[in-house]
Amino acid sequence: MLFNSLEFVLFFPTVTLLYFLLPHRFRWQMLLTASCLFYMAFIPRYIVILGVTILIDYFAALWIVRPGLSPGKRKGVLIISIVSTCLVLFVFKYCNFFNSNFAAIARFLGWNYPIDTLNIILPIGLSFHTFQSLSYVIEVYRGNQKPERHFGIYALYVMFYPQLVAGPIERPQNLLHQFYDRHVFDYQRVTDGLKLMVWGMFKKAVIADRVAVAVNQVYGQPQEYVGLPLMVATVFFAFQIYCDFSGYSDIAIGAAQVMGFRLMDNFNRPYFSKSVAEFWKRWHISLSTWFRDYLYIPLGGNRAKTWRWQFNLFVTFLVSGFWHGANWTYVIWGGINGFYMIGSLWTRRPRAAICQALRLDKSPALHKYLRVAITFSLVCVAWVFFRASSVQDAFYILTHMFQGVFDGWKPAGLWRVYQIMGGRHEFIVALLGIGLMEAVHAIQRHRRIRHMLIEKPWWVRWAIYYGVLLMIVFFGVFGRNQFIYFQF
Amino acid sequence: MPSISAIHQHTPSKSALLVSLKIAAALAPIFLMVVLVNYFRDPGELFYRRQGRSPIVELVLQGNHVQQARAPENWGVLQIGFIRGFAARRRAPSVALWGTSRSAEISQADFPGTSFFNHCIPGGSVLDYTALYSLYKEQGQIPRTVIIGIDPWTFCARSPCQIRNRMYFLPNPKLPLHPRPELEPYYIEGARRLGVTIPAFRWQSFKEKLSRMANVFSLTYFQSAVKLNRRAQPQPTPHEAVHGKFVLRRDGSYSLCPDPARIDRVEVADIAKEFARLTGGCCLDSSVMVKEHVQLFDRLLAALAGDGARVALYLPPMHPRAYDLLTASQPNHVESELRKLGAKRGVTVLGSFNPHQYQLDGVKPWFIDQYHPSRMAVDLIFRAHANDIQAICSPTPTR
Repeated sequence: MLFNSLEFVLFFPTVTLLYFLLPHRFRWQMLLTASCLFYMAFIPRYIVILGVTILIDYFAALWIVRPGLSPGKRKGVLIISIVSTCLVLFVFKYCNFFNSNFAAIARFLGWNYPIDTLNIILPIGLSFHTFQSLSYVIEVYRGNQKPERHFGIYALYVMFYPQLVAGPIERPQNLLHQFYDRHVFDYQRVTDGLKLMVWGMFKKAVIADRVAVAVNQVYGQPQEYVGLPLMVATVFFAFQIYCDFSGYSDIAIGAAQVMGFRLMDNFNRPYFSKSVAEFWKRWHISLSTWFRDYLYIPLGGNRAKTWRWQFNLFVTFLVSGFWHGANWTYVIWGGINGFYMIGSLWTRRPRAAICQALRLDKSPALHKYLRVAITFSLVCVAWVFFRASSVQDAFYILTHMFQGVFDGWKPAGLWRVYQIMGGRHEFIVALLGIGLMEAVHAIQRHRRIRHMLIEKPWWVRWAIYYGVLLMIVFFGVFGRNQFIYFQF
Repeated sequence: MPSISAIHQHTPSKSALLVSLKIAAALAPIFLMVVLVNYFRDPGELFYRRQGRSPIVELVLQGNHVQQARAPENWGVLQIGFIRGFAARRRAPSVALWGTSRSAEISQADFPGTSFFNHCIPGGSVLDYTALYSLYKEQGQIPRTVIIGIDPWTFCARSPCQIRNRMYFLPNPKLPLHPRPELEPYYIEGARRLGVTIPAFRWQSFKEKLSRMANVFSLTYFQSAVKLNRRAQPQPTPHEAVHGKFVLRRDGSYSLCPDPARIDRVEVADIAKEFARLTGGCCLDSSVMVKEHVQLFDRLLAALAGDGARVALYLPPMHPRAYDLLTASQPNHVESELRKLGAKRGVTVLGSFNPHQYQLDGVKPWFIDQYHPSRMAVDLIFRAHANDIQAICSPTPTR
């Protein structure tokens, strides 16, 4: 079920209403049933795969804490659990990738490779709930979390519908205990949650799905474009993926908040980052911290020799890229980000020297804006690989993005951009939507906007709420547009 | 409106009630606005059956070219209005064209000395032709000559696809034919007259009606309704084509491209290539000729002949790029089948899906996209068939 669908418009109030009407002891059952229905609205039979993952990790955690089990055996159980869970991920997500690569190598060597591509559809949100399930077993192994003995509650931890298909990837310490809490209807919390959901819908419908028209058009056949259209599509994709994913996260966090659950923040104005390292602290926070806690630090983190530290960083980003999708484009995207991180360590001194030479240290504001602009440009270059259908397409886009760009700024080039967008009006609405969102982000540097709104007279608040709602109604793009991160 | 501090003092159940009321109060005006605008503006004529009183029909019957912001969507309603209007005015055309958007450019000028009307229905199928036959029969006057425009996908359903920001339809023989609810009684009546039973489209038609009604809540429909403001109202115009507007001519034809100078032939060739790729080569093979629909068409040809009408089939050409790609791996099976059918029923065949037959090579703007020939191409084809046209349109049969 999509958050931006009519089904969800009916589903959400029904579930919320039932949640508050039911006695506390029945709430988990209702939420679990609702979450199953939510998931089964995509491809019903894939709930079996989810069930298998839940079963494996539920019993593994219980086994890990069995009294008398030696540390070696506990580790063994953890490894079995991780391998089994990852095997599910491998079969459904990576099998065809490896198969096609082996086939290509065999073709190159002139060997006969008999295995055809498997006809498998990736279960929606598989990578998300797999990671959430893994974090539970690892935390139990580390002793940070007691194993959950109530199977229904554990299943609900993995399947909780707001964050089931695209996160935030929660930690058991944050979420599991909340299913035992008695949530009462709290006016402020509920209205805050609803406002967050509306804001998420604004980002998805007014910005992400609108700019998606241009992005899909250009990235669908990039060879037909040079210069400005490629550049505009790339910048638009940066906003599309942000608005799409953070819009989803806002709706997820808001929907959970309405019922009384606190999910972790997933984004913190990432395009205001002054470095790529900072960007990764603000982008997809739940995944970044997952990789930090369960991969980067176990590899040794930064408490190692310099070469090893850089190796750890690079490997973490490479794996993160591969997590996003079974395609070389994602691996390269991860590699580029890893390279940025290592590059920033290598170039620390020359960059400081350049700043001094240009006297940027004397004007910190200008220095900050320059850093933000450079970081955004670097992130956009990496996004090209993330969005392109193939590595060849990505290289084409990068090598032709600036070709004849000054011709492209002439009206003819702009006209081509309007044409791609479906008209000048659509283009202007997209720009205004992005402008409004970034203005809100700029205001939020100091204070949460919803806290500021509370202090305003009621008619100002309502005028703003109505303004956002009407913008969604008039300028939203409504189709059955999936959220990009559902595919991961 | 209660203040926040006041609400905090309420019990949770009272707070819940207050929040629900506030949400309802906040959303009700927007919800109402959407429903009312959708219902009363009704840009796609989904809720109103403007049968017989459609302003566009009235204006055309009065002999005007009609201009409006964009093409109407309810073509079935228009055809009902036209045919009933002809009967009321005792002014039935002697030459009628039943076709799709690919035949839209065919006009009175192509049939000098006759009274001509183009009943093209964009996206039309053999079901729609059956309905047109039934409508004419209902009025008791079948035209002397009927030209039937045939597309390769006339005998099968189509699914929508987007090519370069424009919506196109690709043949999909696995789906049932798409019925138009407004023509449903005429499908049934037409099939009865032809002695055939059409596969159950009643249920499909019901589902169609339901999904149409659901549009009253649709935000997309609302946005169309807002964009289609007063300018959508049809107005008479002295021009046969106006750039940026839709013009339905007094003979039922319309211009696909009012300004041929704007045709970007490179882009059109690319669209044609993309279309051929998307259809996967099934566009001209036998799979698109669903057997029962071909039989229905065969009966229709026989019935028209039985009613004394002279019939010709018109096969509009496809863009050479699309045609070449589509026929690269398999022959143009649909056209050979249609020619066999024509020969069996003694029906003249005008045109060809094959653009090379008329040297429509893509150097000039012969096409506005992958399969819509421009007016220039229609001129060329009809000039090539001048003798055939004279023969089938003359008051007395010449052969």
